[in-house]
Amino acid sequence: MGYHVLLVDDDAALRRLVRATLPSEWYEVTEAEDGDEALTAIAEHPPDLLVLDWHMPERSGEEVLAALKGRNHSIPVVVLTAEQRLEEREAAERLGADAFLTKPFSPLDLLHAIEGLLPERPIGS
Amino acid sequence: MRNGDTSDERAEAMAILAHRLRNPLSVLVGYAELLRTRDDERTRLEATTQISDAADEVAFVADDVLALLALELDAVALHPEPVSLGDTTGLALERIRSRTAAYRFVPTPALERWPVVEADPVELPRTLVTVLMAVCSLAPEGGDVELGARVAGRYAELRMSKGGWRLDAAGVEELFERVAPFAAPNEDDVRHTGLELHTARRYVELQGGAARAEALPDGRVDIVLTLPLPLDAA
Repeated sequence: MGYHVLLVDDDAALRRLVRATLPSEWYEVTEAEDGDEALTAIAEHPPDLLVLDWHMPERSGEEVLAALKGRNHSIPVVVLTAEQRLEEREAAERLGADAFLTKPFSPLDLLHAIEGLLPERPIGS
Repeated sequence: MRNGDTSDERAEAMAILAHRLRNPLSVLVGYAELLRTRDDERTRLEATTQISDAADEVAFVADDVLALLALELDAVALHPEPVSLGDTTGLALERIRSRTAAYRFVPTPALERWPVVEADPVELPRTLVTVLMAVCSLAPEGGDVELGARVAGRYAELRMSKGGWRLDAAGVEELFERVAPFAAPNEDDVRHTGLELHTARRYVELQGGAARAEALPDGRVDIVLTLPLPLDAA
């Protein structure tokens, strides 16, 4: 089995796109549709990498990152956002985000970002 | 938007619309790129469906922009005529069918027995699509949506009833008032921001009707649209 990627986005179509982008032979993708669900999933089965939507109802991506920082997690995080504002990017970086993609994003850019954060292919790939 | 709305609300409405465009655009761009770089049947089939749905989503946003613009400019030209409420509801249900697969719409009585109303034959289906999608979006667990229609005086009343809403009673009361995103993630892609209902209510009112939401004691919520009957039927 490949790397475990937890995908957090309230939009089912976006989740489907990211799942389609990540080759199933290299990545095991699990999903959460809001921040609370993501934090629960991370506590139960910490992923190798987190793809995190910034704007979500109830608990936002920013709040998820803040909570993870409080728990001293070191999971690589790729943030997806609909905004191009610099302040948002800075806030994400301050909270430990490793990569930042603005919607609409290229799925290949996402794949490259993930590969850059998980540089070695899992054994057997 | 309505007279008296503040510029802050107007700016918020525009921000919501712009934000709403980003996700379907991501899907369009993303699947186009996957189609360009991959050559397998599974990707092709999934991309075809997803691109079609995303294009619909963009069209919905465009409709919202045009509707808001027309309301702002007092440029709404409606042409009411006798319209079958049952046939129009059936048309609206067909339009949202692929996005509401987890829901079962239960009309009582049967749609063919619903009254004829005086309404714009172009705007009424759009309004019903908007409201039905909102019902699904705000009660996102699937299940039965009860649809009822009856004549009440000079009006026909269409009632859409569903349990499992993610709004409290106060939120329900504000349902048609708000110009703000609702916290309503939905597994069937049905998205809702609040702009649509705001706009839909204005269109219903311009046709001599009204729209309201009622929180019921058992946790269900009814959305009620009233529309005038044709003059010769009232």
